[in-house]
Amino acid sequence: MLRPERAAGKAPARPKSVRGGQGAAQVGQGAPGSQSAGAPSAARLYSRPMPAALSFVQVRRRFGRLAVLGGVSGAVGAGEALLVTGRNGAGKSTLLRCLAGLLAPDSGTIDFREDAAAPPLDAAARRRSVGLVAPDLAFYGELTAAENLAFFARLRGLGPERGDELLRRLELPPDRPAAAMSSGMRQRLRWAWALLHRPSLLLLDEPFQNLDAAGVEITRRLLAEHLAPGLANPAAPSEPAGIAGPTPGTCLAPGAAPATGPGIGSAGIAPGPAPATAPATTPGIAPTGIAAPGLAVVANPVPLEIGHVAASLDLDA
Amino acid sequence: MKRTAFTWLLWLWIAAVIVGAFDYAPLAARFIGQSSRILFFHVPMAWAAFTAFVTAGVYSLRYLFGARQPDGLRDPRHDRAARAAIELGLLFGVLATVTGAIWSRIMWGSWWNWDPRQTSIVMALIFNGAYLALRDAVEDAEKRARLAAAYAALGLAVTPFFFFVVPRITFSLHPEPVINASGRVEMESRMLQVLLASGAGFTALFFWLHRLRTGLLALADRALAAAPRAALAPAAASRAPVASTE
Amino acid sequence: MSRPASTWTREAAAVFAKEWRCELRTRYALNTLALFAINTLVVVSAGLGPLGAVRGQSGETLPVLLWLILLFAAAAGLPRSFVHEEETQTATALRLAATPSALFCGKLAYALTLLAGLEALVGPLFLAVMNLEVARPGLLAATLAAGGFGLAAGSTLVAAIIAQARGKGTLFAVLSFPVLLPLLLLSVELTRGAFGGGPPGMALIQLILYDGAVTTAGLMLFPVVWNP
Repeated sequence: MLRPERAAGKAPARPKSVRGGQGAAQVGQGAPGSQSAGAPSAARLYSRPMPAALSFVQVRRRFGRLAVLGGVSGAVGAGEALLVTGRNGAGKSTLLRCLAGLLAPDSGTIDFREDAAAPPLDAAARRRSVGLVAPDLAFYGELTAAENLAFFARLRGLGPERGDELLRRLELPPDRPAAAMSSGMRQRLRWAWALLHRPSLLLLDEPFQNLDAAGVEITRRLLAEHLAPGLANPAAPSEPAGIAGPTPGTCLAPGAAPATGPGIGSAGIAPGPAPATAPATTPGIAPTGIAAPGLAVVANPVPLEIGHVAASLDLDA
Repeated sequence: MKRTAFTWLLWLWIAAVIVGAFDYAPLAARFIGQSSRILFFHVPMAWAAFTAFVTAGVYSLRYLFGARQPDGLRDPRHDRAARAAIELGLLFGVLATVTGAIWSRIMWGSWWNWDPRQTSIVMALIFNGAYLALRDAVEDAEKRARLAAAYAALGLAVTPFFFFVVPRITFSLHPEPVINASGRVEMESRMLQVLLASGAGFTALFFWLHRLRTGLLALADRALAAAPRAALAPAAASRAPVASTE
Repeated sequence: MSRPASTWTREAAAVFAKEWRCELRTRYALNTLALFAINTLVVVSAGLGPLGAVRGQSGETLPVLLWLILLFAAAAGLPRSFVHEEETQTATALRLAATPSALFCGKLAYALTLLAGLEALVGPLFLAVMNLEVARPGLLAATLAAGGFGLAAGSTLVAAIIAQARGKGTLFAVLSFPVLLPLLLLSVELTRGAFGGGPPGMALIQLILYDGAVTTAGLMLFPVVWNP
């Protein structure tokens, strides 16, 4: 059910690889396209924590007699986006809600780790960790955009700076009550809310709906920064010369996790092109001010043109 | 084999209790006519209703906080057991209330007095009804089980106040309990024997009915899980066979 | 997953502040509670006639009326704190961002302050309109405090439950009444004692125990009610 997709046809053909059966490429500098069987040793080589990974196996959900999700599986690693498509009613939103921890699946497992060497987060931790953009996400109409973000920032134990920064970047008027905002502005506010706590996993359900061209461009850039922070940041201290902007399929492999994951290899999931080099870091040195690459699951009725799509999942199939 | 033997024993036991209530036990001194016979049924029914209530609360707690299934989900058996217990609590509670009202009519001429014990059994009945109303009001199965269990657990937290605090507040028309505060048994020994036997019988009856009802609910759930309708008709044709073999 | 105590307190305080900020901008709950309570009080008082209840019986029946007014006003105004979140779909954002126990405490504190305001309004009005003499004012104050606390705590948890079900308005009354009955009976008995009836005995202790039981149940059960 999982098919690798070449986004925009820019990538050279890469061999399919089954994650977990072989060690994926290592973090940090490595020859492009090389696959190292010594994934655990890669983890030992670098002092930076291994990046995050998400996988889900045979997730089912029914509502009453309606089987909305019938055994869906997938995986996505740091720096990658998983594109989920399907008709209205195919279960995209349901899947995302299950991944967010808002719905408990009837069966199946969801494994999300912010650090591949650590155990998977339970549902409560996952809820707090993810950033969600969804059409049914709403905010307090009596409060302004700034007040809404300030409230959620305080809930998460954050200061107001990040909220202000996001309001600026998304060009949201801080002092208008949320009830008086247009649908496009509300969508921008959703993006601001999702990114407030710098999550490693972004779950985006119809992320560009209601946005005008400017809004789409801003949010695309935000998504690109989330997936590949080093590349998008021109001030990166040690950007390797070989990387020239977002390359489809660029990702950091999760490394050691897959061998013990919930049957990723045995379920026959083909995650897509072999991971290539990592952007912007040298081994063992944590770059200042650059976050680890995040992951994203993007759901939309029709396929979207976004970078870093490592795999796609069509729920109609 | 063991189950059938138990069932036979249960029915025989109850039959013996009925015979004993009308033949073996003497009449109580302060009661009008034969009305004291009701005692042997009314009290065990109320006791069974109380047991049902507590059973539901305990299973609800196990559902919410107890060991989970291997896939990390809560165990639906506990939820089914809680629901069955509530339904039976409703049944026994109604029986207890009706027998109590009959007795009250005979003894004091009125069907209902808002005697504190009557009040608390009615409150327990309303509580059970509210639990079932809550279940009917939630569509999603997982949420329904979770919310109902939480409500039953809340009821359990409040139970001591139902059954012990409220009846002590005001003067009660209930005959001073035959096993009174000082622990002395004031009842004639044959009456006591039948009463205790009836209590055991009704408790066993509750657990037997509970097992039957839980089994029925399990079958219903299994039927539902085996044949869910696919969400999209055209896609279902290709997906449904896959779903059933996975 | 546990957060340091200072963050938890800040979370609960943030929820409390948000509730009041939104409420003061719409005044929905305040209006509902106040108007409902005053209307009921007027109906009761007018129904009893110009001289109020017969003096001999007033100590018996009027406490019941007082607590019924409080109970029904609370049922009208308190559930909104959770129902509104679900209906406007802000609950999703809260589920992903807030720690459940801190959320519950913030909402409970909000309900407590609302109810305190309600009692401050209804109490004196009731005494004045019914021409009541209070033999034990300290007991009355303690009863209003303890009874109000239990009312708020029970209502908050039940509101969280019904907010996710259908038929929210009537379902709240159906679910909360059995749970709140012991509180009602104890408070009525205590109020009778305060108005000049017999000494209350153990009832105040039992009421406080009830408050403890319901609050503990709320703290333990809310996370399970709120999240799958």
